[in-house]
Amino acid sequence: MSVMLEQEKQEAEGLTAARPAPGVWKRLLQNPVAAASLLILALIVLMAVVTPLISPYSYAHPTDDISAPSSARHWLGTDDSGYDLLIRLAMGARVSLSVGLGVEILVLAVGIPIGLIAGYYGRWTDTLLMRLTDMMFAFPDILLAILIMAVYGQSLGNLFVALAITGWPGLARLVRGQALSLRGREFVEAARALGIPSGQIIRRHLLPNLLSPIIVAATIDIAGVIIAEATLSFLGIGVQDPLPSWGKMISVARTSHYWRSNPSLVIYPALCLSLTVLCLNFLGDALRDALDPRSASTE
Amino acid sequence: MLRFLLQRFALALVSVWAVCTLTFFIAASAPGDPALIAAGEKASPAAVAMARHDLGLDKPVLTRYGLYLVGVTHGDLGRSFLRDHEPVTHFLRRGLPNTFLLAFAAIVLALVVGLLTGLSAALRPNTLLDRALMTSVLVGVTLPNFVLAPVLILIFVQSLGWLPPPAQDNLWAITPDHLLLPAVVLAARPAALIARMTRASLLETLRQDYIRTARAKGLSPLTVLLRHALKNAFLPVLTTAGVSFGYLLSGSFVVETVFTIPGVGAASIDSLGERDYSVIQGTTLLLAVIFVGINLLTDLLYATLDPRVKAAEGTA
Repeated sequence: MSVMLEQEKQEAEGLTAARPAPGVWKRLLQNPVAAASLLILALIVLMAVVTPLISPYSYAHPTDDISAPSSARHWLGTDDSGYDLLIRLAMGARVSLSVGLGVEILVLAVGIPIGLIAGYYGRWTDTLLMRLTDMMFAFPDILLAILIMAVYGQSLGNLFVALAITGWPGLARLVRGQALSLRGREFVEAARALGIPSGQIIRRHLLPNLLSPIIVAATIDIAGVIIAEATLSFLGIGVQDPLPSWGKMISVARTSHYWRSNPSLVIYPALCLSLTVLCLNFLGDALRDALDPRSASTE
Repeated sequence: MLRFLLQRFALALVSVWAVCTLTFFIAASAPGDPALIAAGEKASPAAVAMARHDLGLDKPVLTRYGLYLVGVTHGDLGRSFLRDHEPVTHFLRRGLPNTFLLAFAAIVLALVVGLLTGLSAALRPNTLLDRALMTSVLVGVTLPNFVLAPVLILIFVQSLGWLPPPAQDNLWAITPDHLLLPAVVLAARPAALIARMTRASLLETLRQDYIRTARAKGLSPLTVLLRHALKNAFLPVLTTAGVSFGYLLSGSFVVETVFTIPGVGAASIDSLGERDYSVIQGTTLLLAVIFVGINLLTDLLYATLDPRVKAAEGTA
């Protein structure tokens, strides 16, 4: 409701639509929650990038130290198979982050065009494409991804495809809704009246105005993808050996029963996963406020 | 109203058909030969051919699709590649009572906790209570169930000993305290989503003019809340509850696995060890159909509670 009011107000003031306002970074960093989230995410990225480069251990080969406590040799200790926990966590971070980013790129590549076309052209194109997304929504949550991984087998490529197939309908629906409301706006009508071809209107006038909501949705979506990957890996149908994943680490530790005497085997990956997901959510919310300061002030 | 009902019902049927079609063709396009899975890697060509014939895999794919659709309407979801080609419905029938009990307990818990949390937060917006509740809601939304489960087991089973360890048994046959932890874990995310929506929706409703009018004419705050605000604020919550039921269904895979509950989710995951994906195909279909049914139900409930929906649909 308030969104519509804002749009009407903007139109009355003769402004164009909500392109990302200048000074986004500054506003983002002034928000303490966002700044802290960015810092934590940066640390996790740092761990993912640097640890495998400097660690003497391999994520694929266990060491001779079984169930070692944390020490100068093994900063976070080892598990009951002798794997160094830090290197496994860091590789898990690489897996989570690259799956999150990679899948989200696929989701954007499919969801944005479909949403734009459905929203801009309307009529039967819209009906057709939106019925297609409705079909995908009939599958609760990541059930379709579970089925795809189960049937096609557990490769990293299949994982990307399965999660992208599960993810695009949500984004397509968001983009379509925004495109639908932009289509009726004066600057789009003016462009159409000037005889500018549809493709160019979509690219030059719709897409730039859609960037803010897309950036916000994508940030929060990445968190969802990371959870989905961890869930599949936890169930044993995600990332396969020897590659570690935070979800798989929790699963492996849980089935070994050894974690009851050494809970850190579960706690470290759980903490990494939760922090990453939580920070991405905080960041998404903060981005929403920073990209569109007007909506923030009315909240 | 009848037209609206029929329209929604037809849409739900189309969704069910789409779900059947998609699950069938995903399974039909699987790499590898299911007959080989059924007969075993080292089976003779004759045994593989027999398994193929027995499972009906020797027919053309469109014929199989037709037979599958006909089968589904008769409650036949195909047969397992292994275990003497036992019908998939047998697996589901064994697991469903457990999955159902768990889901039911979780959704009741989610609704009660979610509504109360959202309500308390909305009545004291921007106070410390509101912030504390909304922070825990965010944690509830973001914390995956397989993280929550071991942590809670560690605290309540391992350290405090208040709750029994997972029993690996039929839920209907054991004491209710075995159900508590799995239900809490499964309910966490739906509860958080419902709480968030209740708060937002109630705050929005309380800003409306008719609420101000009700207050101005001297009604007590409690009457305003109960008689005027809650009914309207509840509508978006209903939709959220319907959608979050989806998390509950797919979440049952994880929660049943963690707590060793013999439900449909755990059965499907178990059968994957031998690449017997026929069971998970049936489970996916069943859960998706339940989900479509739940969404149809929320749509209808919505229409009964909000006359505007009926009016809008009638004129459209």
